[in-house]
Amino acid sequence: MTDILDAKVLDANIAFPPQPKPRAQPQSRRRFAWPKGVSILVAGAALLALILVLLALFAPALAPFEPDQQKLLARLRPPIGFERANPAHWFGTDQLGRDLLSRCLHGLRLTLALALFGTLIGLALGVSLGLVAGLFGGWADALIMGFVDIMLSLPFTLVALLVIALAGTDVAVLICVLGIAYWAHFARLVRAQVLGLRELPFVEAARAAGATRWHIATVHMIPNIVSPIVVMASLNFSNLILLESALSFLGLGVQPPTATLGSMVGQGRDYMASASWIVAVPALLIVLVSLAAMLLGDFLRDHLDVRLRER
Amino acid sequence: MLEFLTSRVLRMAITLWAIVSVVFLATRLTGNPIDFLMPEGLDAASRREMIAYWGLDRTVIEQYWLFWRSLLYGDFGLGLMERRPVATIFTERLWQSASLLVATLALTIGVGVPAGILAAIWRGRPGGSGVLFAAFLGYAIPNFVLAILLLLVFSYTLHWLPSAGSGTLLHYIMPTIALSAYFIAALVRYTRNAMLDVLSEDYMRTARAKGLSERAIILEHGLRNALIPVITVLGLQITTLVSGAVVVETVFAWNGVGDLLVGATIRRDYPVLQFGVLVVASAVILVNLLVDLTYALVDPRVRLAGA
Repeated sequence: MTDILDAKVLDANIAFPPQPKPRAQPQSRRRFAWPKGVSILVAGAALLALILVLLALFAPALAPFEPDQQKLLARLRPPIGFERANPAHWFGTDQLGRDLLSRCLHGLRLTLALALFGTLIGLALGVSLGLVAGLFGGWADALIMGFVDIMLSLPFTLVALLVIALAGTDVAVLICVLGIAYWAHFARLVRAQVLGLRELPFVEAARAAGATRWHIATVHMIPNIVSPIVVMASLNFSNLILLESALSFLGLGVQPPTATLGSMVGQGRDYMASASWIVAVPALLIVLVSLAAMLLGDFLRDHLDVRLRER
Repeated sequence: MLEFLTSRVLRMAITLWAIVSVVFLATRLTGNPIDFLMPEGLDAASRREMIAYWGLDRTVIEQYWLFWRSLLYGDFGLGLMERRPVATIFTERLWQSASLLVATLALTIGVGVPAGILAAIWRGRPGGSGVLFAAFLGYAIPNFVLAILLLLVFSYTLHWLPSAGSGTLLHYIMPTIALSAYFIAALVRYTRNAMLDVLSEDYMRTARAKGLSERAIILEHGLRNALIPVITVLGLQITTLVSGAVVVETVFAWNGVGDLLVGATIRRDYPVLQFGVLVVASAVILVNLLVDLTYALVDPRVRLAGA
C-alpha cells in the first residue's frame, strides 16, 4: 500500500517538480530548525569534536606549562581533588614532574595533526591511483587493483611493523605508515565510482567531444565522487587516530619526550600500580576523541547516504 | 564449484607470491640486507660467513631462489636477540597466540550472536537500545585503551587478575575481553541486522502460523538463516583480529607471536620479524580462503554467481 502511495508521490514529483520553498526572511523569528536526522548523540559528538579541535589548535596558548618541562620536586602528583594534589597541575604530574594537562593538550594536537596528514596522503595516493585504474583500465587497472587486493588481505599492523623495522622510528616514517594504511580503501572506492560514472551520458558526451582523460577526470569525475570520498576520509581519520595511538603506545611511533596520547599511555604503564592517573587521563581522552570521531563519521555516512564497501 | 575453487586458490597463490617478493625486495632495496640480518659490530670473518650463508654474494635471481627455499624449509637463520633458529622461537609462541585467538573467537560468538538476536527481538525497547549502546562503546574504545582500563580496575585496584604473562586460565580473561570487545560489537550489529531482515521473511510467518513456539521459530528458522552474514563478518575481520592481537598481546606481555613481532621491531631483530610477518600473512590468507570456501558451501548463491 505504501509502495503505491510512494510511487504516486514520485510520479507527481516528476510531473510537477516541487518548487523551492521561499527562503525564510532573516527578520522573521523562526525557531532554530533541528536538522533532520541529527540526534542528541550526534549533536553532542559534534560539540565534543569542536571542543577537542579547538583545544588542539590552541594547545600552546592554553597549556599552563611546557609539555616537556620537568619538575622533579613535583613528581607523581595526582589530579586536583585527590590527596597530595598540587593546585597548579589540574590533571596531576607524571613520573618526571611534567604537567599532564599540558602534555595531553599537546599530545592531542600532535595526534590529530598526524591523523590529518596521514588521511591527506592516503587520500591523494588512493584517489589518483583509483582514477588511473578506473579511467585507463587494462594492465594499469590490473596492477593497481592487484596491489589493492594484497593490501586489503593483510593485517596492516604487519606492514607497519615491517616498514618501521626497515626505516626506523621517526615522525616522517610514522606519517608515511599512516599515509599508506588506507590508500587501498580509497583506490577501490574511487575506481568503483569511476567505472559507474564512465558509462553515464555526460561523460560519454565529453569523450565524444574530444575531451582528454585528464579533463574528464578533473572536471567530470572528481566533482561527482566528492561526497563518498569525504565520508571515507572522515572514517579513515578516526581509524588513523587509533592506529597512531596504538603504534605510539607500542613505542613504535612518536618517540619520547614528545607526547602523543598513545605514547603517554604507553610510557605511563610502568607507573600504573602507584600513579594510575598517568595512564587514565590520556586513555580517557583517547576514548573521547574516538567516540566523537566515530559518531560523526557514522552520521556523515548515513546522512550523505553513501554506500561504502569497506572491510 | 570447481571453477570457484581454482580461481580462489590461484588468487591466494598470487597474493602469497607477491608478499614474499615484497619482503624479499624490501631488504634488498633499502641498502645492504646484511645490516638487517646480522647483529651490529660483527667481525669480518663472521660477516663473510653470514654473507655466504644468505647467498648475498650471488646474483639477485639466485638470492630470490634461496629466499624461497629457506622459507619452504622453515630455515630462516638465527634470531639476533635469542641466537636460536627463528622457526623454533616462532613455533614456541605460536600456540600461545592460537589459544588466545580461539578463546577470543569463542567469546565473540558466544556473546555476540545471542546479544545480536536479543537486540533484534527487543527492537525499539530499552533492552535493545542498551545492547546497541554497549555495542557502540565496544566499537569505539580502542583495544589497547580497553586493555589498560581493565588492568587499572581488575589488576591494580581490585587485585583480582594477574596483570601480565600467560599460563593459567585467569591470564586469559582480560586479554580475551580486550581483544574480543570490538568483534562482539561488530557481530552484534551484523547479527541484529541479519535477524531483522530474516524476521520479516514469509517463512517466519509460516512458521508462526504452523503454531511453532517463539523459541523454535527464532532458533530454528531465524538464527540459521541469519548466520550467513555472521560467517562473512568473521571472515572479513580476520585481518583486524590479527592486528588487534599484536597490540593486546604486547599490553599483557602475552607470550605469543604478536608480542614477539613488536619486540623484534623495537629491537630491530629483522630475521625474526621477516619470518613472522611471512608466516602470519600466509596464515591469514589461508584462513580467508577457508572462509570463502565455507561461505560458498553454506550459501549456494555465491557458488552460482561465480568468483
